[in-house]
Amino acid sequence: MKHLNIYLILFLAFAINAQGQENGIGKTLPAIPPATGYLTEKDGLFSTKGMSANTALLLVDWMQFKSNPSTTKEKELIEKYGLIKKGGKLYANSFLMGTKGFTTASLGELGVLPGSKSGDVFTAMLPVELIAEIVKQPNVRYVDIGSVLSSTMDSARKQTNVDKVHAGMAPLNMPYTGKGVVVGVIDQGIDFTHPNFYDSTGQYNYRVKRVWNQFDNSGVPPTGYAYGGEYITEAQILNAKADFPFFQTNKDSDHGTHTAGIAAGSGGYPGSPYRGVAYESELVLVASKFTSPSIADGIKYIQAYAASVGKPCVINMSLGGQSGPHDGTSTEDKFTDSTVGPGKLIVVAAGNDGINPMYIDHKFVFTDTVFYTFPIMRKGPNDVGRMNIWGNVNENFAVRMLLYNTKTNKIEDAQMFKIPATSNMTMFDTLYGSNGIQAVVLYSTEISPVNGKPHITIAFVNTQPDSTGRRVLLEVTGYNTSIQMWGQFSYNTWFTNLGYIAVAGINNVANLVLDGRTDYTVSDGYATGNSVITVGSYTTKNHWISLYNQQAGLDIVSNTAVGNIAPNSSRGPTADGRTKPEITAPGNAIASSVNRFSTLYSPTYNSTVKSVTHGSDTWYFGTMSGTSMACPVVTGILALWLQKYPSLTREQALDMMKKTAITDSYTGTIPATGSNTWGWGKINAFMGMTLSIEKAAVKNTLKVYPNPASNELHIAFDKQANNTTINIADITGKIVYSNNVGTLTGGSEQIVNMGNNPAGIYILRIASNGEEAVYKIIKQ
Amino acid sequence: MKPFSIFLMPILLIFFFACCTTVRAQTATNKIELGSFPVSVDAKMLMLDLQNELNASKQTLKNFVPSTRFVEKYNLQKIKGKYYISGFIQTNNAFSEKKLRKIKVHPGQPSGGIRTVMIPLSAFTSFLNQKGITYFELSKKLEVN
Repeated sequence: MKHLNIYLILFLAFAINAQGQENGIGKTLPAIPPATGYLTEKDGLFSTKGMSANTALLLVDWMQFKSNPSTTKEKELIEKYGLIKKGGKLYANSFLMGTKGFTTASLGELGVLPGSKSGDVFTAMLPVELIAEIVKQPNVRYVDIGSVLSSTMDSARKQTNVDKVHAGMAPLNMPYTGKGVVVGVIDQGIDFTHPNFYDSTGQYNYRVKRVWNQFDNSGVPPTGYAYGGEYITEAQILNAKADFPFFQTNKDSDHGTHTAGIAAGSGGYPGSPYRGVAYESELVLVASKFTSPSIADGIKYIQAYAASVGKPCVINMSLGGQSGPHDGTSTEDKFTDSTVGPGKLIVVAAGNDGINPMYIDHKFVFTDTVFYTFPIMRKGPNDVGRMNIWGNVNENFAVRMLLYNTKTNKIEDAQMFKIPATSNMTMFDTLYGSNGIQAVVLYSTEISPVNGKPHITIAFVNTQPDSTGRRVLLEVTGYNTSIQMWGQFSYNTWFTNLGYIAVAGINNVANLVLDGRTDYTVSDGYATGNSVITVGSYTTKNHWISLYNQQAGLDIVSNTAVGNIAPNSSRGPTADGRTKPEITAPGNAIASSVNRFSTLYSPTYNSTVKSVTHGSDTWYFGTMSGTSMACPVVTGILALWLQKYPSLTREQALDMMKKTAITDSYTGTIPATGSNTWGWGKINAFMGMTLSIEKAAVKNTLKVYPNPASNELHIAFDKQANNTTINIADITGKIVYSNNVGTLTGGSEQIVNMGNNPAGIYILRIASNGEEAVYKIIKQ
Repeated sequence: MKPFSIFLMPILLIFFFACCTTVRAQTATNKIELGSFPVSVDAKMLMLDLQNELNASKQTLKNFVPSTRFVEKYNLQKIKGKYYISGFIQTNNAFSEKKLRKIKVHPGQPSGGIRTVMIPLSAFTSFLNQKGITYFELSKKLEVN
């Protein structure tokens, strides 16, 4: 019977497919006999009760595979369902829900490998051959093997609930698409002609309103600036084609086309899955030289355009460095502080240094007056290394560099004087190895006028061949003070102890040799500023099928489980202890537009996923990864929010993010002060948008307790509240409680029974006296 | 101390004193010295390198053509045949945009008392002596993230 059913299904599938291949235009269908009833569970191959549709499909495919196994078919199965082969067995990484008291450990006899737990949902690796048995277990309520997310913008949009905002789902009163909002992008490698920058047809209603190509010094600069060329009309912009001459000589020649596409791309053709977030916004593009002042100029330029057309704007900056104080006092941060305000927002990528040991801090106390570390260059010993060391206001520290032979365990040369940070000088030194080969060091010191901190920057080149084992060694000395130091991003300088825990032979004192760390690695150069929103990256996709039909995946640096933080997403906090990043967004394997004038994303490149042809020209979409890609997701979402609230401030936006961000088993419980990996969680475009901008007045008259709540949630009103409504929604936006309680006297209390709601996060909204207060409630 | 280091010490001492920048008003056209306001550590490095390249080239700053290494290291921009240094300035009430433009320096739009500037390399010593500037920070090179 079961085999019969399989053949029936296959026959029907073939017949439907064959019919679909016929050209039915202009023809009419024959009369269709009415159905005689409904199929029931017993008519199927097996009961799908307690399992998701995708799980059932896997079981059908599994049965077919078992009847005629082959390596090729197994590979197809693995790819189709994202299965994992372990110890010769195929596993599906799945979600399970059980009866009260259920744990995945109880399924150990069936070969289930437990994963994590969030609320009453468990993750576990299920042996595919036993899934049917697992579903039948009395304590298992539901099994879902999940789905393999496609390498498109749609997975990022779905995960962030942007699709719901585009659809204008209730309680939104209309779709939001970024219309009436200016999205500014400061970047490099921008193809101005890409269909992603038109409307959803990919051919009409070009949406790029201004371009400042800072590389075009043959052009006319914008008013008030002395460099680059400004393109004002559509014809000028399209004639310029791209940010020539930049990308002809640079590797990151697709970056800006991609980030702009994520934030504001239309998809480039009807029905495209590559649609960005604010797909009807206006675009202003600044092809930047990526020097700190040129970026500052770009901010002012975009904001001036937005002001001239009376529209709010949000600026995307997927860029950064590591050379500043990381405490919000750098010149660029101070510059930015005065540029943001109502309807003027800036979003910055956190950086991709989350796996780079490029940070050290140290507190010198009592006899602990010195430490050492080996600065190394990622690009090799002959590259220029660079590091910045910052002390405390009105205190001092000193440095010197040495040349250390790791083979003989000897110091071969040393700068004779310690160089104090407050010495306010610049000098060269040369360190000679006993083989006569040198390392050149340049020191520059100051008491920084921007924050009063003593500061030393050191640049060096060690020309010793790697094989000689001669390494430069940094010595830092201080008394009752502390320092923070960073290797410099663009010079790729990291710190290591090379396995040493102490250095002997210097004053016969054993001293600390420090390893670099990966916290405090959120970029300076805007991302650590007080006035921007800084974005980390998590994974919504880690493999894809290329345009050339090749299976492709993330590199080892970025690779991580779907849902987890990207390993290289930079970690906070800032040097002064503020939580950064503030929020995370999908950033791994994001597919969007790339630059048709560069050569990297060719049709056969394994990160190229789609081509689109309009007329005689072809453009491409491809995948990229990093906080650079997460940043424009948030930029686009803020454009959607600005469409609803044109005067939205950074503080209000942040408050909306904090209240509605998604947390799960990967983020864990995020404290009220935020997490230096996740910020306040994964951005939730839809739930953020359902909040009204909160007025403080009403909240001051309310008390909501307990939170977390188990059963009863109490809402106490200090003052009389008129026209009061209480709504509670779950994290998907579904209203789970709604009550129009009318007028309440001061001192009254409303009690909401939460006992029947599953554990999780809820949004409580209390509207009263024409204002609204919003609370994030945790149901235990 | 090893004999090698003892031998090296006088050389390094000479090198040390020769290379330390000093705070003194600029007088000669070819001397790159701090003027009336402090500059960032990167700017100090630029000044030291610039002085060394100028000395080696035996050119005046007006006609000086920096090396490719120098241009890349300090993010110089070449616009219509002229080299420019870019950065930020902080200013006080004595600042005059007009005077800055007179020496062909291009200030950008202000934000909270901070402006971007494009300084012709040939006018760098004049720039260092401008009144009304309280701090100059050389541009930093950033990267995609």
